[in-house]
Amino acid sequence: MLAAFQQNSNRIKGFVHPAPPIKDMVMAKIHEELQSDVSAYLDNELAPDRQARVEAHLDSCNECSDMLTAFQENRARIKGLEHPAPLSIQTAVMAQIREQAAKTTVEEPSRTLRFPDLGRWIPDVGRWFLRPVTAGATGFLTLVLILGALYFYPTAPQYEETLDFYFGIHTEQLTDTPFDESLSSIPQDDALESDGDANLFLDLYLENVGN
Amino acid sequence: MSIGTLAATMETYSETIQTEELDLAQERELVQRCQKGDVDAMGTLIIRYQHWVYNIAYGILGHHQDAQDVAQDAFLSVWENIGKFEFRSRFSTWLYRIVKNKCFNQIDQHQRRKTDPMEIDDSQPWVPLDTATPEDAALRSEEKDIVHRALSKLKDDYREILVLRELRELPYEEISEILGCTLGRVKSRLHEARKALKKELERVEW
Repeated sequence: MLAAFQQNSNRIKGFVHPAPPIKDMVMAKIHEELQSDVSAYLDNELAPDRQARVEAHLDSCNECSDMLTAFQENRARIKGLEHPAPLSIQTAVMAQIREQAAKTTVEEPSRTLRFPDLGRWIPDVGRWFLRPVTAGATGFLTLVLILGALYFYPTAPQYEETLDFYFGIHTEQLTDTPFDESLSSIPQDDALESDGDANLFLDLYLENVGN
Repeated sequence: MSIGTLAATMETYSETIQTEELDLAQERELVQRCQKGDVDAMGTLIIRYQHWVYNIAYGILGHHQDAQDVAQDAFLSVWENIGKFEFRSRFSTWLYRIVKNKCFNQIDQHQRRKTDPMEIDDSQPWVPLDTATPEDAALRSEEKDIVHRALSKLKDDYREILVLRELRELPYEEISEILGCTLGRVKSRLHEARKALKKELERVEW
């Protein structure tokens, strides 16, 4: 048994593997992370605690401190590209603007006499309707209005004549006598007939079910 | 930190904020006057921003005459479209976008004008526009030329962010507003851009 235990112990020891350089890997990760902040450190855009950590790292890491120096030098080089703007920019632009403004002033009275700011207002309205949300909302409102009209208007008394006329034309197609006086009696007859049917149905129901 | 120092710091900070707010309020007033057609207000805006606009254009294009043309064109566009500005962003942000579009249009036009395939270097997204005129040669020192060449080899995104930060010294917040990205993205892109420029300049013997 002892021999077996020793054998198993040796087998377990065989699993032992030299540890990877975890410390180096962690330090490399930290270095990489802090290095990515060198730029923000230069711009003083880090939180105070982070700024302090990067500063401490820069004291101990040549690679990062060299990078910071290079960034500072390159900043000065780019800054050296700055050049005063030529005065001719202002002169040329203002000349053109004044010319345009003068033209507009001459055209202004005839254009704004009856419709003030119409020229400015119309394109704005056009743009407003071209927006997807606005266009969708307008379409939806239009649909609601149409459906509302269809729902409410047939019951409105002012449209009853229109409806009568409409049904009259359909009746014309069926009877060829749309405006015949005799047609006005049809609803009354129908009403009587339907009353008779109801009574007949009630009688039959009472005969068969009531008993 | 003593109470006296703290009070002094707070006072300075408060003054800075007030100045900035005053500037923004003045700027808003100027823009509103421009929207009503006040030419003098436009003149004040041009004086205020011409150096900024010209140097951004120069940083991106690398050519004085082109930068001047773009600056003029940008200010005329501002005048023509000022009615569309709705104060949803800073005026400078809106102006920068106009300048940027004009610059990249200019670059596209120059690239299209080059009909000889041998002249077009596809490995570079940006083709230097310099044609070494005598005036430019006089204006530019060798070092400036080297920096421009190095910038020209960077990606558009990198060159743009370097111009905004190094040349115009804009804070990250404003850069993020201009570029329409997060502060984190600004930080990482700027770091990558600086690394790329460092790499390009290391190839040059100073």
